[in-house]
Amino acid sequence: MLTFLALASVVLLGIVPEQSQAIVIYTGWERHALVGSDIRLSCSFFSWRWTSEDVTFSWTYRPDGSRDSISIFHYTGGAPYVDNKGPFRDRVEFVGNPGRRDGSILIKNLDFNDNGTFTCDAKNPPDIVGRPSSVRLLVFEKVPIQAGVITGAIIGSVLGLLVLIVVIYYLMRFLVARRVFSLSVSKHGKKKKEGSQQRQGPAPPADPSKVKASVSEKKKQDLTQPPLFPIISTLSRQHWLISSEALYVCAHRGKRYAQEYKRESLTYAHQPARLDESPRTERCCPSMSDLMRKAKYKKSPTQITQVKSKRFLEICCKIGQKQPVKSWKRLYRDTVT
Amino acid sequence: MKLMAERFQKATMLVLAGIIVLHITTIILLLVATIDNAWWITDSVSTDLWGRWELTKSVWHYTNLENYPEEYLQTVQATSVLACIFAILALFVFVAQLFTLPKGQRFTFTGILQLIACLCIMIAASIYTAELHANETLGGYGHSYVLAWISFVFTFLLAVTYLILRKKSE
Repeated sequence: MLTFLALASVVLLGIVPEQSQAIVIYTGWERHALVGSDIRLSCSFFSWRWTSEDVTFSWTYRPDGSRDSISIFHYTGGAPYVDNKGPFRDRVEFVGNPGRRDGSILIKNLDFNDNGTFTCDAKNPPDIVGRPSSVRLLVFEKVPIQAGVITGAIIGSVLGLLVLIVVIYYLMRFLVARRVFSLSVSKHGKKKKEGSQQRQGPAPPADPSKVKASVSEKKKQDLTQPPLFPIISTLSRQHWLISSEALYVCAHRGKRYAQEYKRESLTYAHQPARLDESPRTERCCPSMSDLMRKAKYKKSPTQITQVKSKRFLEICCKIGQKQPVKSWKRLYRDTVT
Repeated sequence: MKLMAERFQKATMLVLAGIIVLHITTIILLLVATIDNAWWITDSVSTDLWGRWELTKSVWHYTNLENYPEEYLQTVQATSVLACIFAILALFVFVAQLFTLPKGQRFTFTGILQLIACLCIMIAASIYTAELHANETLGGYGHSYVLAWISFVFTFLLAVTYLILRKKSE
């Protein structure tokens, strides 16, 4: 049994390497370098055999446009031999490690005349059948960048411009909204102030602490009373600015109207004309609860909400009003005063 | 009445699906035109935008581009990349606007982005035609070049569609 195994392994070891005895050599495909710099040309090989002591590396050089090649480096018998007569005299250095199957060389101080093809041939006795591999050297004045500076600059600037435009657009909308709101606040506030002063009468207190106290008292009163600023103002045809108070008021009013409308439709249930309109309340109520939710989340009464006018009109229109609401300011005034 | 409403809804769904499919096709064409190195083809060379494929001894090798007017090549690279980016952005913005746009309004932002993409790919293809390989007689324009012009047409059509289309209002 054992002898059979031994024989089989010997036979296998004998057969297999003979079939794949080719040595495979690897170098780069192309190398770029600047004039005056150094370049390391790497060469390694793969072989089924162990690295023998008689491993050899040899580099040959063929200039661009020429058909002759000259040998510039040879490593054999454990010692490297560099070019001492040809174009690479004193410029080639062996930086490889034969024990690790690395036969790389370093070429120093490159010049334009060094453009060409370098071929590495490695032999690992008894593994000697193999194809040498070539690497092409390109020497440049300045290293060419493929997707260059101009490409990156154009892409970056256009995208940056787009981002800037979008940011500016939204900023302008927000700023205009604030400005319109504050303007209408001051305008309406002046009117209401004149009205309330006429009612209260003369002589504001001279003491600064008392002034402060009265101001804070007035603020508290303001929260329970209708606010002194208009709560609905038009930003554009599309958007309305509405404070949370107004939202709350309209929501409640709408709810009340919805209940009334429901009650009405029930009383007139036998009239077929009204029956068509009753499902409207069910459809409105989800939007109504949405509006109530929005009103509840705002903490201060002066918080601005931007409402898309059409939807707002749709909601409050469907809920209780028999016709579209023309003036929201009047509605608010009627509700609160 | 119900049947008409259903049919109308189906029609709009089909139109929407068609537009999205066309947009995705345009994006794919743009990507192929930008990435594939086949703007100029000869018997043994397939080149451009990023590198050069050369057929030597029946093996294709990839090398760098040399002796090209650098600024024009890089402009073509930049604008074709930008066209891809804007087309993809337009798709995302379109989907976002489908949900956020108030009814009855036009998809202007999408249309503008798509128009910019159309402009970019037109600039890329035009500069390529005018400046690169203008005097060479051997060889012809490859499939990437053709796809670039086709995607120009598609992006233009899509941009016009987006600028005209309105979100349906009930």
